[in-house]
Amino acid sequence: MTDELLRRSLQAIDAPMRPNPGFVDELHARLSGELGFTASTTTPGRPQATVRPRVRRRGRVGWLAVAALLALAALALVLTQQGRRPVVPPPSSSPSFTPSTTPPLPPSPLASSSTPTAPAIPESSPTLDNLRSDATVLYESGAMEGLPRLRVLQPDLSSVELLPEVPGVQFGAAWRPDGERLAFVSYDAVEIRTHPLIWETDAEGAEPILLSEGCDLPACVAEYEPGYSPDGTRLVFVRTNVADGGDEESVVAIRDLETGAVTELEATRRPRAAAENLHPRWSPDGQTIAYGVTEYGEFGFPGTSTLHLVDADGTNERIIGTPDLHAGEPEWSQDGEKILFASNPYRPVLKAVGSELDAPHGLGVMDADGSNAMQFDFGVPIIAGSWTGNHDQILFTLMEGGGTGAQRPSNPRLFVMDPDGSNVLPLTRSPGNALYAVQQPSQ
Amino acid sequence: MGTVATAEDRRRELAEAFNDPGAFRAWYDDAVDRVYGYVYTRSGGNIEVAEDVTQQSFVQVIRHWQTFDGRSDPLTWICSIARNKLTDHYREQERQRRRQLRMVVGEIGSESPAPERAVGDRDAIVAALRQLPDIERAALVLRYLDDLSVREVANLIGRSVDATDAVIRRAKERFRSVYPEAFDD
Repeated sequence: MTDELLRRSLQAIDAPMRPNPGFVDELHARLSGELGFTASTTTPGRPQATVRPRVRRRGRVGWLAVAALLALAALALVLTQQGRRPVVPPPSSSPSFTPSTTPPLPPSPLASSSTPTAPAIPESSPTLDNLRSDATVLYESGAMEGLPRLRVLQPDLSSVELLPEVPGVQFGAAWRPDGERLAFVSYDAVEIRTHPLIWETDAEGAEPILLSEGCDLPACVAEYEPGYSPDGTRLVFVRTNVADGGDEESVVAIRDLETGAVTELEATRRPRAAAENLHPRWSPDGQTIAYGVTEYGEFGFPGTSTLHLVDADGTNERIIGTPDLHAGEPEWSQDGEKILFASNPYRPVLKAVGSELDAPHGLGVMDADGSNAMQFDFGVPIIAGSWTGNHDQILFTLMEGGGTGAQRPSNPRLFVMDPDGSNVLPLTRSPGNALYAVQQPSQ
Repeated sequence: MGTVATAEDRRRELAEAFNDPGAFRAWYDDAVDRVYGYVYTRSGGNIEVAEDVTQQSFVQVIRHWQTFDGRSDPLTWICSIARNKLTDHYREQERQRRRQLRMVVGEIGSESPAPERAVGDRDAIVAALRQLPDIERAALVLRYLDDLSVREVANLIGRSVDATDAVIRRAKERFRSVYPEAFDD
């Protein structure tokens, strides 16, 4: 079987279709009422059907869903305006660098004279020489091809698989601070009953070893999103357990790599159906763990993402940054004073209200206490920021296509820039497939 | 030689349609077929779901059309709304099912009635899709009909990438078992 054949078969049937005439007229009457047209505006000769109370049929849940949508739409207005901010820096220049203050409500789109601007994407030739460290760059491929696999970027900008012998899915790579080892998540895509676990290998991909010992189904569903402690002796990660009642829960956990002992941080335990901990990262001084929390709404709407800190002993959980940042995927600067973060790492809000633009994927930097947050803006989505091997540049993926899917391909490419947003330079060619890049720490 | 519509053109087109009853009827008659067909296919031919989602999508459009930015065709925009509504529907269905079962153990059987004998590709494929559990149908159409990445599908159905991949693989196998023609050259 090939995916392409399946895709062709399905897409061949994607065509307009006339609904039941009664439904067509009922809906038209309802929409006309919403628009303030009179009943006589419906097509002459067509029956004036009674609108079925579809929303009311859902009762309280339905009205709450509508209320939730309206609330999300209001938030969407704000976020959409952020994404529409015109930015036209010249090639090889800086993206706009804006404070995260909530903008005023946007004017009516029809009254606005602003139109989307061309993405400010550098036009210089991509090369790894744009990195100030020559250490290995790993990334996840897969946006175009399906399953993510870890690949190593080569000097000629081709790439090779890090772990060609490891079947299935590979993602979530994180380097040990000494650059000697890296952790990643994998499971066998052939066996349905396998589950994601954390493995470790070296920069050559040699002899992966399983770190997630003891995470067995059905009680332990998954271990993923690994990150090392500064001394490399412990691993912080997210674990999904099945609680006594049968519901899944998400918790940040720490594994001692010497003994294998796992400590789950109670303050981070959340019902998985309501929220998920993501991307925990240890501060350079070893005292604090930063992570994102993506919440899911009561009706399954993807919710907001917020950045959290918790002391490494599992106490004192707190939120940093403001809600409008929708921040996640934290990455500490080498001095521990700044946190690089992604905005809308899981594209939550505008999807729920159906915007074609979605929530703008962004990248930003804040102080470690959550203050002074600033966001980069290229006019197209940015995702997956990380610090380069010597910590003086930011490695990130720009979705040059500006969207997803066949009509608006995402075309992810890797770039680097200085922490202040200057010196934006391309690393990979277009079209690209590189996501979630991480560079080996410099020796 | 045709001209390329700008974002402003598209917003104006929508505004004009929504400010005149006659223009609205003409716009609606075209749009409803597109949106309903989009949802009907993706819902596995479930008429009730297709009507419900179509209605919800249009109501949302009417109430929030001022947020339309014009970057895409208005119908593309409405279809994206419909897709999200349908995904929400599937997620809620899945959540209710999981509450009932307490835990998902093994495969979830389809509650859909056996499809009628298919006539033509569309009917046959829709009938085959109908036999998939809701969450698998959603994952399959998002992945292969809407061309989303596994990660994007995961975001929409509210599961991790790995869990979503497993759902898609199950969906592909199940779909192949009920419609092997999809995999023939």
